[in-house]
Amino acid sequence: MSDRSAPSCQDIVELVTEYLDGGLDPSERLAFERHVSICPPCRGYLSQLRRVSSVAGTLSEDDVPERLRESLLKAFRDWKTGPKGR
Amino acid sequence: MRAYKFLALGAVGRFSEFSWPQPSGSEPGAWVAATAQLADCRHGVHACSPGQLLDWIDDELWEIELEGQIVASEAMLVAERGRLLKRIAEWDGATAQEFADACTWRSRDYALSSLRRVGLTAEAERLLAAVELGELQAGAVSAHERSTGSAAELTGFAADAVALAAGRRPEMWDTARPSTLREPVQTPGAIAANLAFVVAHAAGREAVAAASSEAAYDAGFRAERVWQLGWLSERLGLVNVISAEA
Amino acid sequence: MGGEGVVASDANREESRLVPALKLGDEAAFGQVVDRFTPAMLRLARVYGLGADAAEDVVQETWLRVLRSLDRFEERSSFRTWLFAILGNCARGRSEAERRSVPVAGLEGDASPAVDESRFFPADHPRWAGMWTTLVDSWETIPDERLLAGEARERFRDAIEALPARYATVFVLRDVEGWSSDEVCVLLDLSPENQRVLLHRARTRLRAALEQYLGADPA
Repeated sequence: MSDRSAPSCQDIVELVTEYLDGGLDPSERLAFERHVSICPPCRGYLSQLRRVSSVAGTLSEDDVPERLRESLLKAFRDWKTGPKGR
Repeated sequence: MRAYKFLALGAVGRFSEFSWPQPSGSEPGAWVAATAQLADCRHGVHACSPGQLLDWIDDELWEIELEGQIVASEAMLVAERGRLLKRIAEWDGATAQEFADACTWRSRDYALSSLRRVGLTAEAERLLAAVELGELQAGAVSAHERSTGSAAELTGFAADAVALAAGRRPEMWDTARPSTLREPVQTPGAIAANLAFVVAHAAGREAVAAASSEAAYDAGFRAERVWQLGWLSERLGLVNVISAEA
Repeated sequence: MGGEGVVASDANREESRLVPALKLGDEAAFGQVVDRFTPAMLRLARVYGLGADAAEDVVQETWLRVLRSLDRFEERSSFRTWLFAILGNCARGRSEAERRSVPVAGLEGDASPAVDESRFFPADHPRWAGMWTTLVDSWETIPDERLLAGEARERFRDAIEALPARYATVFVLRDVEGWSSDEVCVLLDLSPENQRVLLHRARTRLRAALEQYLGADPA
């Protein structure tokens, strides 16, 4: 399977998520970084993966659909003034 | 203690993505401290003695001052604190490409050695006659097609080295083929890191073939690294770090 | 295990501070939590195989349940973990009612490589076994505007919706919403390793989709 002490590029692309998540032990992490350091395509790949995450982070700035929002606020007011089931 | 540090363009850590405070005028950059215990090498300021630099070649080279507890591992120095002193301006894109090309020419030595060992002297002569990288590649490809075993491997590496130095991939030997796609761009620093490693690896492989023993790899690899370090030290004026008292 | 044992981040603490205000009927506080969480709730409801209208219904039902159970919520727990646990229950219920496929937390099925093996030299190659045959762009020269605007953004969203539900769930919570690994594992009852595998598969598929969109696929 994948050799974490002397990873090939094919190993690297499978290890990237673990690496970014801090899941590799120190010697595995060193082997990973050493490979990426001397391998231009893997540098590119790591950069792409990071970019996927950062692009994803911008999606959370969406708005709530207006109709839904109003409906929820109405539900809140009904709950507030309605019979309290306590 | 003074040491060196390679960074990505803009003084950014390649793996940390940390933006290093840069010196201005004669003032060093601000001190940067590790955020956790040094034992876990993820935190702490990473730096290199000259001999450790080759594994981490990148776009910018900086002189860095280290403070506090410093742990020297085989691969790097890890310190509690560090600050950038100055950029080694001589290490720029042009120098990086020059270094990559110099490493590429070294791959010829190992190809020659392997060809002579099996008596392919005509092919060796053709390689020796090359004065520019295009000729080196053509000669290496031609020899590669006529050889087997270690000679095929080492001439293959020589041809690959030329391709890699030109921003292509291994076995992309047909330079006449037009590119129809948007070619990804690699920085000269990335190419330099790649070539240095590939040729050191080729040196190791030739040592194995010459000695008929896998055990010979390390010595061959390291010897090439020594040559590479010599090239960089001379060109960039690198000095050996003066160790702080333990 | 509603939210207990989850590391309280700054965001968590801020959210939990809103809970007392909610209990007092503070409409502004409710508006804040609605704005903060509803987009992610909608996205996640979609991941359970529900159409847009059904997703809105589920989100609405979730908020109603939240309001009705507010007095049972312990303020030292994680509000959002609790909220999304309720959402999960509602969405699963609706999914089952509509006989849609329900996401499973397991890893069965897909074991395809992160990158097609044709992009690497074969294992028997004399010099480059397992190494990239192609160049790989870093995308560093592609500005955010190109990747985040209009069409690219829509295509990226489409690609998320096209993911298998179990991958999308982890990806949306981790990378879109910024939840920690711990929080996701607690909510979805996953081990850290399994969670990471799901995230890995999601990210690699999305990378491939983005690469194709950018037209840089050398294949």
